[in-house]
Amino acid sequence: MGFENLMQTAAAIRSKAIEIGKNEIQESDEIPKEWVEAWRADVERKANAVAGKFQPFTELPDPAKFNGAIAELQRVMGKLSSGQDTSDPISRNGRVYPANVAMTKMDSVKGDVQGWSGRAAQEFITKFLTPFPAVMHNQFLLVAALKAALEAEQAMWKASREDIASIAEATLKYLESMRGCSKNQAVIVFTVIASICAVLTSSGGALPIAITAIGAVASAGADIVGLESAPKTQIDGMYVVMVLASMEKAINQLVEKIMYTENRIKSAVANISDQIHSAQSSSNPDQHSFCARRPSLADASRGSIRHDLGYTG
Amino acid sequence: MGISERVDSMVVRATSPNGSITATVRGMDSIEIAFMPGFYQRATPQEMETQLAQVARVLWANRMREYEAILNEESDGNLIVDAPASDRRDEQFYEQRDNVVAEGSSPDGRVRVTARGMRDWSVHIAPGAIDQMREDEMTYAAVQAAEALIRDQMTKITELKFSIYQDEVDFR
Repeated sequence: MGFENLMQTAAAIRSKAIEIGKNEIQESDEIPKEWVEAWRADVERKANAVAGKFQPFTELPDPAKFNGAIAELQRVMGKLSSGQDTSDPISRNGRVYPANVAMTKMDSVKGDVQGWSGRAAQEFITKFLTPFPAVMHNQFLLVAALKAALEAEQAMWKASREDIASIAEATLKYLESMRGCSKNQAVIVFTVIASICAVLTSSGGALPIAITAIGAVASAGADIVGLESAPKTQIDGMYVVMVLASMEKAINQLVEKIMYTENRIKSAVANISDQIHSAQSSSNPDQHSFCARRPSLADASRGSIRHDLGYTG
Repeated sequence: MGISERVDSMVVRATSPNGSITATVRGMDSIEIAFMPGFYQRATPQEMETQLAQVARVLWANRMREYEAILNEESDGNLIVDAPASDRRDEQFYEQRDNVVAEGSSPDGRVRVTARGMRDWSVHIAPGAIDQMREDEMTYAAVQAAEALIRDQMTKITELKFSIYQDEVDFR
């Protein structure tokens, strides 16, 4: 079974539902033949609709397709790692990001500009050189947050696939358990809400503004899951049509939970975006947390620089 | 192998308290009965009835345990047999099911079996039957009575379900 065989399971549900439905009631003194025929027709109609309930889920995003983008962001984190705080601050799927040795060249820049004076030199030091490690670390955290958001999406779709397969399997097993004299119940545990908690650690107080937004996704999920009480639903019913109705209800509940989880991730990412935007739109360059203002020198040309700045081209 | 296949192929055995009768149920409702050598020849009718009733009770209890174990294993513990009642109808179902009296008899009527709620079993053997019937005829008659009882139980549960839950199915 499993997600890969979702439609085969749906087909098995249909067959089993019709098979059981045929014998659920028998013609008797109290049950006329027309009732039996109407009953069987009703079961068959609802059993035939089962595949259509599962079909849309076969188009859920493939979690594996997030791997490329996640790996790309991991490479970026490697480039932005200063060596001060090398482990992934958010994702539990994280790893250690050794310091990017190329960035140590920034230290030698301090020496290079030692003999340089004047306003341009002062501004280069205060607005670019001094905040550079902090900005780089913030960028490291920001990329970690974006990576965690992608990992949360990936985990969400993976759990969604598992949950829809669980509904199909529980329905089939329930139908198979209906021949006895008992009144059964198949329990389904929705993993989709908890899925993003498995990815995200709770955000520590030391993390800057933007990061807490994505961290909130994790803690909200943890609150809901409560570590013990993952949301559950059940497949039950004494007759096939009741069982199929409970299956449909479970599917609708799953859709709600996917949308809820997706919205949590979406609003966290939107929060990050807002935080960055507000931090960068400040008129005071000292408050630009994620990107230092581009040094004027970077766009300088031989003609635009006075020789006494020490710049010889 | 899924639930249906495992239930169809399950084999459950039971032995009466004094070890004189062994009974087997295969699948949903196929019964086999065997007497220990010499038991049939020396048993009194009352002893025969008591031992048959007791082996039937133990056999059915074992069968239910096995059935639950299969469901449990096949569902990783997510399939609950006889889930707690969620409304008055469920309560009614459980109450009335416990009081369903299922009956079965051999075609010649010489062996009759009844069970209330599949827990309280009694067996009645017609006077003189043990003297008149060979051992294999008696075991065959007991098997037929037991299988007829299981069919009767299933029919009565089907009727009970319909009487309680029919309104929840809008089929007319």
